[in-house]
Amino acid sequence: MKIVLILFIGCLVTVSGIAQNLDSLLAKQEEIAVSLQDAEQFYDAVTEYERLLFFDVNNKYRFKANYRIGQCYRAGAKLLEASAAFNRAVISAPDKEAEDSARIELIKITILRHDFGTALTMIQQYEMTVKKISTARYWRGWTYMMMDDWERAANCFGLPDTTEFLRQFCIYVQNQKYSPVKARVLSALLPGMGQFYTGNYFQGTISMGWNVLFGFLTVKSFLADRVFDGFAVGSLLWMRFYGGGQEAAEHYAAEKNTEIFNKSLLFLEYEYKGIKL
Amino acid sequence: MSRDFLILIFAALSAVNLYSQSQGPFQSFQDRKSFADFLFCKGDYSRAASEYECISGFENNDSLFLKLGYSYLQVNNSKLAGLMVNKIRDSAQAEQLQGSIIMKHFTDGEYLKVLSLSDSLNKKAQTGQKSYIPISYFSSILSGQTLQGNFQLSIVSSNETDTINFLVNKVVRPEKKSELTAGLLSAVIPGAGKIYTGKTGDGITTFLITGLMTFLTVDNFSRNHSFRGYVFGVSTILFYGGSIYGSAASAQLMNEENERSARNQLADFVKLNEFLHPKTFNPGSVCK
Repeated sequence: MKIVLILFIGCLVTVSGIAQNLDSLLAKQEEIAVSLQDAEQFYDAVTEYERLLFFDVNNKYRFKANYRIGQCYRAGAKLLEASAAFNRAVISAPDKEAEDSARIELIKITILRHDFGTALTMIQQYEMTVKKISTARYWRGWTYMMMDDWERAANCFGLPDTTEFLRQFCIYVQNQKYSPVKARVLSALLPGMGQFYTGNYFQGTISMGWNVLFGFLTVKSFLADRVFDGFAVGSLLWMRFYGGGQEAAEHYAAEKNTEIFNKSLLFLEYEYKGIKL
Repeated sequence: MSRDFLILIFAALSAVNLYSQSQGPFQSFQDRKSFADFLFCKGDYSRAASEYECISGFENNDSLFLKLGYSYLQVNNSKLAGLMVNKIRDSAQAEQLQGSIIMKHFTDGEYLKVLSLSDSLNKKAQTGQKSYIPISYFSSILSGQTLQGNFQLSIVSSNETDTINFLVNKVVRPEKKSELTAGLLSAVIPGAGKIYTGKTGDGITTFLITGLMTFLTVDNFSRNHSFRGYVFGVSTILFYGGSIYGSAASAQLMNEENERSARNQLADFVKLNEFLHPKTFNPGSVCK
């Protein structure tokens, strides 16, 4: 009887020892992975998190490891892999708060992947289920900013509880932008005017000069009853420069808008101090 | 006596625990192998290769070398995969890995490498074990090498044989348009060369523009508008010359396009039809 009791206690001690051993091994493994991530060795960190997940038979680290794998992939610009990892984190989240944070990371990755339609749908779902309206609007604003739609972005940030600074910034960017339609119409009304509007004064002057010259030659030919010459110069030269000037004005406006967009993103990336993508 | 025995067991268990902890978590041979297999089956070949590398020094296991070689191949390191082929003792497994390497080169369009590997296999293989012969045959065609004989495939139906012969014929004897003929035709009738190369719309446009320019040149000279006559004359010469050059260039481009398209069609046919492939390693066979 005494031996059986010793054996039973011994077994209990051994089993608990093994269990404790696994826990401590997993904790140690997590430490290794985190230290690699902190040292920005993201590839190795992912390997170690994967190892942690593989040996974590009780799924104790499932959320944390997947979340951190997502962070590592994101840092390494592997957005598709990051998205998959955050998706797994959402599924394995132990509580509502953890799930929300993983969902926000997933939304951010989707915006970075320029999959704006999906990002907006995800934000809408987040808004409906989580009820954190200000957070949803904040990321909706970011989606619109990345879509180069500053007016809508300003409206999102303009709502209560969202950042006033970003709203002002969006309005500023929107005001800076050129209208390609306006540039084309101006060039149609007065050749070269569209180029002046976009700040391309030299090109505007040249365009105006060509139009005046070939317009004059066309009219002169028609007045002198040289109908063929009038049609030839008018269609092959004047109209070509007239139409080309409008296209160029539209192109310059689009080019300037791209410059403004890129500068705005650079500002948001390096100068903006708030929560960002 | 029994108490001493139990104490001995507990002491041994503790020693084992302490030893495994000193090696770092999950770093034993078995742990690494299980983890590597997991990564391999998940398709994470880069990490799987790293794990297999760490344990490959401890065990001369054909299966391990096969999986390591296949992982190398999937991360585009066919050189190291080739080294693994030499380490595998089981000839069937070695042949599977070699077949995978050959198919990888074929898929990447590296036909000369396929031929070189096939040559080395040819020297080693016994009669009846030459599953790489079709791929070698098609590689020699696609790399522009001289065809050496033909091959017979008993498993290929007459329909497939016809398709193969048709595609091979298209590569070996592609439909060609003579650049000289195209140029001469355009010299006689502007645009005719383009029509000859299949660009009917371009040909008609060239003919109409050159004709109009010629008419305007003659008309202006006949009405004593010399300046305009010269302007249209130069334009006519430019269009005429351009038509001749354009027709010859069009024939050349068409020939190149025909050749490229025929090669792509044959390569795609071979890639899609497994009966033309050498024996390859199927990772699904080792993953549950």
